[in-house]
Amino acid sequence: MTPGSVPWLLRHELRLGWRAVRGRTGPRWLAALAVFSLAIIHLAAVPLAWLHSDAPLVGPDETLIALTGLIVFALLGMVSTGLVAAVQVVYGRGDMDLILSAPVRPRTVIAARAIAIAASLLSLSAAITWPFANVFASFGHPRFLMAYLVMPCLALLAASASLALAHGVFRALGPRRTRLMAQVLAGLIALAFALMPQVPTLLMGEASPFDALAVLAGLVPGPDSWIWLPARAARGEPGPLAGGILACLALFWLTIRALADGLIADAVAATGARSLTPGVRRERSRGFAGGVPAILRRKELYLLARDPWLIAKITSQMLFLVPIALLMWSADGLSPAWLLVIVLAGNLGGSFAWVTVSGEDAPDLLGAAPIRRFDVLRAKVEAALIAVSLVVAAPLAAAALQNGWLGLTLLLCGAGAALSGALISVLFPSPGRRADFHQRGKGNAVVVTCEMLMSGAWALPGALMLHGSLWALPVALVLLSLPALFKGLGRRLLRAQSASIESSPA
Amino acid sequence: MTDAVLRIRGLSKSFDKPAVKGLDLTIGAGEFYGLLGPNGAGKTTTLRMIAGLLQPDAGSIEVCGIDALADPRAAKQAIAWLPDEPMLYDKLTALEYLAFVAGLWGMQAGLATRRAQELLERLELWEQRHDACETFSRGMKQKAALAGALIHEPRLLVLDEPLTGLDAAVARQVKDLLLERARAGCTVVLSTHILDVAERLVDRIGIIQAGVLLTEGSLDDLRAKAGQADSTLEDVFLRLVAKPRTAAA
Repeated sequence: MTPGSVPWLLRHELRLGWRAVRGRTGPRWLAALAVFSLAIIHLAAVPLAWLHSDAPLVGPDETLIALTGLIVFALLGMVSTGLVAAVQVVYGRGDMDLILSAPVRPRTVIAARAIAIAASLLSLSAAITWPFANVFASFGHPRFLMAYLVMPCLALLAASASLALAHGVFRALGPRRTRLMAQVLAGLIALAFALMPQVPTLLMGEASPFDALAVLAGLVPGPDSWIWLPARAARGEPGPLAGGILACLALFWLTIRALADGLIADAVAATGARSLTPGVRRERSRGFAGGVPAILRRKELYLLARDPWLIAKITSQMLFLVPIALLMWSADGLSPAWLLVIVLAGNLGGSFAWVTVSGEDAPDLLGAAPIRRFDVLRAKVEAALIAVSLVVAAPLAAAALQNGWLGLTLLLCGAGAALSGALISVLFPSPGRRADFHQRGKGNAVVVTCEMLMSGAWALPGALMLHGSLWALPVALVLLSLPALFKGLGRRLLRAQSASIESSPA
Repeated sequence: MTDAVLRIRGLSKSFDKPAVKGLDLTIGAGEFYGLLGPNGAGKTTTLRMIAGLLQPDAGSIEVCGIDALADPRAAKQAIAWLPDEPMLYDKLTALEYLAFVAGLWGMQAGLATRRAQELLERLELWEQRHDACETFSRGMKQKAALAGALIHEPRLLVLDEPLTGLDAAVARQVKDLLLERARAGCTVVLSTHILDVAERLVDRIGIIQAGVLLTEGSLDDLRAKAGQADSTLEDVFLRLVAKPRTAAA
């Protein structure tokens, strides 16, 4: 492999990406997690494929509409992720000075990074779609195997769009606001992505998606229209398929060719902006008063409130509540969708606690201060829980207005979920920089998976409470005690991981 | 020597291999002590143990007569720690940072405000007191961190490479302030690679290598031990550090 070539730089990018994903997780654990996840997704696809094993899913015209919808859906999801990745890889990593000081062509650098973005988008989407394609193909729908061609094309298309959008945002808003606005834009695209599955329900009320497709077929252009070309390609028609693959490759190549110099100039400008010391950001605050716990809580809340990147991330998470809110709005009686507020509280509890505990900017300062470590941790968890309560206050109030018991359920179980998420972050700290919040999931895959499962599990006592079952109490107590149990198990896991990392070649 | 502010006996710490081995050290009130040694000699490990950030494997640390291992909180009340990388919060202003640090050490708000103003004016950061620390240059950050270390008027100031990466003007300000504090009775222990600084600032020098204190004393004492009268500290240091290596060979 020639040093400085696209494959050589791509190998470097993929190595960095792999190490970020691997984090501290040992290769054996990661492989086991991957095999387990793929097996679960394959199993999840079986009932759906079995139900439709002896008949076409929908008619040929409806197939075109459904495939077009799926392509748009997949593209929105990929662009939402790809935009953040493009900003991070081109502007955020801060290694452009090193690379550009070497005798490497800018277009080569951008090409390698663009392919790496496409590869990461493909790996994320393929992990979901390809197992479904395998299962449906084995149940008599071999055309689903077209996913193996379609998804790479969509990844190339999404990477091109992401780079173009990142460049556009940079040019429009400048280096200082690019990361923040890209995050907000990605959140809005993700919102469109999350809303798409609700479109049939919103348009057709309680009608099934298949009925909605039949109605839509009467409203859209006929099957010969050019707008169905992507769907025809996805269906495996040779002409459109060959044209689609060539078009995606050409668009990707043209994007790199057209934007490489501009993206490099943006990266240089972003590096310059980082090195400036403007001295113009002025803050006014109420200062620090009271005892040590109060001082620590206030410090954490100031830092959370002044972190636009974190706020953008939280906002984009909140945007996912919009489709849930629509569901809750349209449902008669108490919708189970309300339970997602509990899951959200759990996720936020873990996220905020990671920022306050693991993302501490000056651990030595706190370590050198004459205060107890327990007091520090308690204040940090309290600050994280206060932040969660501020974020979920509005949905909680709405729930309480609709039904008092619902409000109490969400309050108690949401508090439990947030506390559990925070405790997992405290018991399994993975130190990192606050700015690396978006990558915290990559630090320790097992712990973050436990945290997500725990957030989801708190919906169970919520559901039991809504049904008036006393079982909610013991289930909640078990969930509250689980982080401590995880701690014991986690010690063994981490020791096993460390041993496997130390024994594996570098 | 005046009353000991820092007394260390048999201090040891190992990571993968021994980093500090049976270190003994006694430093008096108002003394300016320089810990010198090659890379990996155990300087930072020693200083971090004194600051209460690392637990020693063996030995004792006494700060102002307080057993720092038995009662770390009481000992920390008398210590300030300043590493080479400033411990700041990007999103706090300089004034907020000092108020926060003062709060951690239990200072009254009014006194903290007065001390913060004095220190920021002394270090020429008063104009930037409402600016977020993330907007500061390296030197400004180090000055803000130094102000944080001094705000609670520590009796023992522990500094690890405090002048690394500072320009001449900022380095001068920091050195002047450290000397001023030492003259006022504060004990200063610092590690540095800049031997000129050690030569001009410190009262006593300890040379540490491979976790062992090779020798200590004033510059004249060290010159005598190295048999190099009228030599610079650099010559003396290189000679003393080279001796054990030669002996080992």
